[in-house]
Amino acid sequence: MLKLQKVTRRIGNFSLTDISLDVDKGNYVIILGPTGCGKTMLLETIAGIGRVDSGTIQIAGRDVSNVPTEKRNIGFVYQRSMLFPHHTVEGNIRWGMRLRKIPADEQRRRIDKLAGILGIGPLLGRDVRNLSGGESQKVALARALAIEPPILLLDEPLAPLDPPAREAMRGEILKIHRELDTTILHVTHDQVTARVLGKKVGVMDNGRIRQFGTADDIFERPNSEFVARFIGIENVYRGVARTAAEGSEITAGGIMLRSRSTLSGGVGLCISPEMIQLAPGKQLPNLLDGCVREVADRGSVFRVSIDVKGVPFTAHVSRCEYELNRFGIGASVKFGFDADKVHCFKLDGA
Amino acid sequence: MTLVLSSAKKLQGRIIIPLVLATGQLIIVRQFWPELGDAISTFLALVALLCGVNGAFNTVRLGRRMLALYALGYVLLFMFFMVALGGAPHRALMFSIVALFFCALFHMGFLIGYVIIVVVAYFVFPFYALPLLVTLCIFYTLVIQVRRVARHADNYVLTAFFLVSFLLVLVVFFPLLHFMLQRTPQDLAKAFFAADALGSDVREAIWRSIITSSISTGIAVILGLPLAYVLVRADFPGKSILDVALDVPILIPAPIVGIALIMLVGGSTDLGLAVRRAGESLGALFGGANSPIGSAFANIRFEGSALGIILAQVIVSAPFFIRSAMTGIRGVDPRLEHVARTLGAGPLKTFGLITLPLAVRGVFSGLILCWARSISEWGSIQLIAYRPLTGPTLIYDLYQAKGGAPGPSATVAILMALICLGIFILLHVIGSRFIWRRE
Repeated sequence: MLKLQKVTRRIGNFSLTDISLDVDKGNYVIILGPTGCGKTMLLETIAGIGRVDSGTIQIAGRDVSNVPTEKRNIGFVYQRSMLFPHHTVEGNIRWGMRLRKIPADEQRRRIDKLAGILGIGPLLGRDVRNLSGGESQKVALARALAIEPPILLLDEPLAPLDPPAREAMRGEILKIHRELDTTILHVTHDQVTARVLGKKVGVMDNGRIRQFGTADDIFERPNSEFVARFIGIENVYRGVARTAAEGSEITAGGIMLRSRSTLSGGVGLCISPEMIQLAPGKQLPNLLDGCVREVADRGSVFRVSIDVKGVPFTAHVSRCEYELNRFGIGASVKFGFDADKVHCFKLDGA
Repeated sequence: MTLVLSSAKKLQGRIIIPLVLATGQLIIVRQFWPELGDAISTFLALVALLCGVNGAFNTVRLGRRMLALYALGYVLLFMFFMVALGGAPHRALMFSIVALFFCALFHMGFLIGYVIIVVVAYFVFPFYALPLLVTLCIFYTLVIQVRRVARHADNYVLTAFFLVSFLLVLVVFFPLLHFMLQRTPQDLAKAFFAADALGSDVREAIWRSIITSSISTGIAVILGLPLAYVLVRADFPGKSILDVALDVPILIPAPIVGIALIMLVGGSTDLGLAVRRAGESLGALFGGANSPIGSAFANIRFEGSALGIILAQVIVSAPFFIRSAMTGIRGVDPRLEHVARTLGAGPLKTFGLITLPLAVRGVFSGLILCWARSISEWGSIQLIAYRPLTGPTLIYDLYQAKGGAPGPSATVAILMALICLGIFILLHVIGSRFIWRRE
């Protein structure tokens, strides 16, 4: 449906470099990246707000690299809903259809359908300046969908919403995706959104896509230190791997860890903080002794920082487990994790 | 019983003390202003009694301090009229009126301010009473409003700064107001509708001013709006040069524009002659001096023509439009335009359907400014096209003919000022009713 090949574009000192991306029809793709990594610029480039320097963009098999925005047939929703303040809610939704000279009864049908799905029927006559953040985003979504674009580009539409509205909006977007079978490319800096919505996820950094794959690929098998840290894995180390029985043994900062990885030599490795068991009852391939440095209440979990011979580890412990153990600061603690929880990747440039 | 007695005592006190004070005043007035006679002295004593009773029954409820202030106010008024202004019979009567106003309005604190303003305007600066009265009343009303806002925001600086600004308001506003009040409406109507040569000159000049400045505003809008859009939306090397160049007409004195135009398109310059010759040959093509179109073409020139007036007005006023339109356009988020593009609007449609309607505030106020600047232009028109006369050149012409005395030029000037002001206000009303409200 949407295919980018080695797209490069430069504005001032910043550039998008060699972006290749393939979004199949009906897929939901998330591009995850920190603020300022070029996510919005990538979407605007796909929409044709600015031409590419090199590379090609294809939509539905047609090369649109040199087609002006208005002929690309793209649905676009910005972070701030960008509703036209001089039109009502209905006027906004109708705007694109009116330009396309869609017959009035068809316009009506689409408005009613979208209003039904998004639950904005009662708002249609309202002035857009009196809408809440969530309502504005729904109207912006309806406006973009009314022209029935083959692909919908979303630029962090959830970011300005408060948590309950964000949760509701995620549901609305998923509903749109399922009921209308819309192909969606969604950029965000929020890994929860990526995990909940993304069938495929790309991680972007400084104008490049660092890793692109299924959501499981990204969240369980990050391919670099950057990706691992950005998706929230705090235990990222470098070590030297040696092939051993059932995988490898890795030495990192004076600690020996067992992994199922078949890589050898200098590697990066990461362990999800949720996969670390404190005071494990059973025997685990990786068992360590450390000293609790810090305990922070994160709401659903406690984040426990442990120091092992100068190497910091972080574990997420459920509230229930914390109630049982109550790790005091300075206490020594035994913890462990399975060999298959130690994920290894090649180091950049290695 | 004791209650009745004590309240009767209180009532007595409330009447007796004012009576004593009024009698005291009567004795003082008889002693020091014997020329006032029995009638006026007694009348003043009655006024004092009334003020005293009002103080004893009403003002006393505001507390001792306010009562003291009330008494002080009365004494000050007395001193002002009877001592400072001499206490002639008409002053005494004036005093009685002001004192009655004072006692009636004292419990509505802010109204006292108006009484003070009337006193200051009519008795301290009697020669400028009316303009001063109007200026002070408007300003005082505004101060009360600002003070209320400032109290609400708990920010006394607002009030303080506004009070400081009064000096500026006075400097800007007072001369014009003073001048506008120099002629009665009848004078103005007579000047405008007079059947003599001067009357028709006045009508023609004012109409010419209105029409030429409307045309030059139209030109500034048609040519300036695209430029404003480019200057806001496009970033290109050399943009700053254009940006500065835009301010040059604002910066340089108007006669310089006039001289520059004379040197470029004046009657004896190459360009001026070429224009004239081109006009004449076009005129010949359309039937020469006999046909109206032909003679119109044959008379094309810049020097001493409406064309020259419009050219000069466009030069001095277009920057005002462009600046204001730029502010309006800058307020439109470019992402709104991007969304419109993705919805299927080309760049021109996007400008017409999104950018312009949303920038309309800046554009329309630019239009008003531009029109105002055009109609007020005199310096450059004076040089490039002294005749046909526009409003400002006619005023100068009349002034010069009278050897420097205002006379009829002042009448025409007031007329012109009122018409300009009227159109200016009308445009603002149109703006706020039909254009700005949609924002």
